[in-house]
Amino acid sequence: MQLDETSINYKKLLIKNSSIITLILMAIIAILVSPSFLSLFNITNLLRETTVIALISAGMTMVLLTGGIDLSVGSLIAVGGVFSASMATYGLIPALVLPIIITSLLGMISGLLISKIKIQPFIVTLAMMMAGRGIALVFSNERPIPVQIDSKIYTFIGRGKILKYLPLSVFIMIIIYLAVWYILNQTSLGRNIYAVGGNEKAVKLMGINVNKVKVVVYTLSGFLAGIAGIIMTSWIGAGSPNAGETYELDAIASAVIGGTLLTGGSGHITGTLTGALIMTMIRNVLNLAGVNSWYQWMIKGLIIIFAVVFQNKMRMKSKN
Amino acid sequence: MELNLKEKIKRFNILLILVLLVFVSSILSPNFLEINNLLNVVRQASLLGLIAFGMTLIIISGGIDLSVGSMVAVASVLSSTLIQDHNVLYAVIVSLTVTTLIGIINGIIITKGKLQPFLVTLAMMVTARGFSQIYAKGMLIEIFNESFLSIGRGHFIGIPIPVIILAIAFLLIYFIMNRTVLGISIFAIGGNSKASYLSGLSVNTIKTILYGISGLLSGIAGLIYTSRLGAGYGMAGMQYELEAIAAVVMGGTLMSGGSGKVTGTLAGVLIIAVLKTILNMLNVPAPYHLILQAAIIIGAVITHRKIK
Repeated sequence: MQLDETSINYKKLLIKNSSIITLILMAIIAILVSPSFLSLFNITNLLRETTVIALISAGMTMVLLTGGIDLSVGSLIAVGGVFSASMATYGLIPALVLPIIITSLLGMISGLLISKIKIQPFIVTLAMMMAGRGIALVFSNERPIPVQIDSKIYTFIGRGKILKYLPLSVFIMIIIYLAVWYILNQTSLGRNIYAVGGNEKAVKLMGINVNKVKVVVYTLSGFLAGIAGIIMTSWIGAGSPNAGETYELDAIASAVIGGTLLTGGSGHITGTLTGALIMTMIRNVLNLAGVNSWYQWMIKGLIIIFAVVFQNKMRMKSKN
Repeated sequence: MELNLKEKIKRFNILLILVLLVFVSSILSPNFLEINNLLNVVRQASLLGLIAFGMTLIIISGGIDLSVGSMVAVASVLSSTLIQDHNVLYAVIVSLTVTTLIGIINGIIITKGKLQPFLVTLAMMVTARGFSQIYAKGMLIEIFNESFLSIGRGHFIGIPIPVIILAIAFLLIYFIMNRTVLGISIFAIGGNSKASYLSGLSVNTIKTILYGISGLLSGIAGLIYTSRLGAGYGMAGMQYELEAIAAVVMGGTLMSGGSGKVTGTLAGVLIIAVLKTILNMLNVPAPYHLILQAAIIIGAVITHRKIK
């Protein structure tokens, strides 16, 4: 009996930390494939590359937990980016605040259409994805807008380092993940987010304002996409209207690899961060190994399938 | 069983939007109603239409297929390569077999593995896109075979061949949905998969067939695309899955499954095509198309809601 119990615990531990184990395995493979993987330069680069995907994945996780989906995040990165680049001429504050307000508002509109008018999240955010891309293209005249600003702080956001080695953007990412973790695990909003995805009807009967929860998560998703857009623009030095294309898929994949269920109600934010690191690492390692980017697409596809099959096994086990 | 006016509006409201849009278009641009222009609109709609028909069946059964755009690319690069050494029939049959098989693989993984269709077809979308680009080495594969090129460019008794293909596909899907056991089963599965299984329906087989049909139709769309472009292209059909889903939902099919109409999908597809054509005729810059398309999608879904 005792033996059985320990083996079950062992299994549980393995399942719970599956994404972290995958990450470690991948790191080992990466070191074997290319010794330059471990260089400080490459590690900082890897972390920096993760920030944009990680930020939108955090928003995506909250949305997925409520049982929704947000396809607009990639386009909202572009909206945030072009607005930030063009506002930079008017100073630092407009360049940082205005884009975030706009993307948050667009996210809020998605949330309102989903909760008040009850249109499926897939369709609403698909429309927002088109509209957002359109807005970014119209606003920028279909060309990247170069950042013209005297303030060194603006360039520092995407390129600067603090504590000698840590890129500021990575620091921002860590802060945001701590905040999201806090919201999901320590606040009533977080509990409601899980509850809405678990059983919406029951939650409604309990008197929780489901609509409000939904509006908040889509607004937060827009908010985070805006920050991601600013970081990207600061890093590249220009706001591109084509930025962030197909990023929504990477964000969904990151959340799912990290253990969040598409059906809502189950998942955790630390898993998403590992998922985002795994997604970036695949690209990073394959780049170092000189693998054609199209093979990378195929490998990404296989890893998503692998993650999903694993998740499914996990769910079956937890049911038994 | 007379339908009252309200019932009639409820049934045909998406068609009313289409008629309204055509009416507005004909005022904005007098050339719009010329027969050649109208045929052109339908020809442009044929690609999306074929894909959206398959998507309708899948969504009604409670699934989704994100891999359709990538299957357009698979058919494109395969047919354009095969046509270099083989005849048209061989190239067409092999390409369509491959895309149908990809669809069937989707179906088998979803049903046997009990996995979410969204993620399985997302993975297939990424994988098939990667395959197409590798196969074509990221380049255009030019086609010189005249009879292959006529698939997308030719006419039969004055009607563009893609329009004829679209019409045949529409009639077939309409027949399947409304006159066959398979059609009834699709609605039953989407309405209540478990109950359908318990009442003896081979749910897994039917779902797999639907993904196969979606693969076949996407493959045909890929052949039309390739023939019109005159080349095989690994990036063909990018984001077609999203437009197809939008058209299906605009047509009144619920994403939760169990309810929907292929006539509605056809209307949704035509609305998107009419909108694109009239915006082009009026020289509206491309980015505005996206914004207006988004507005029309949401508008159409809201009118469904309001009338219901």
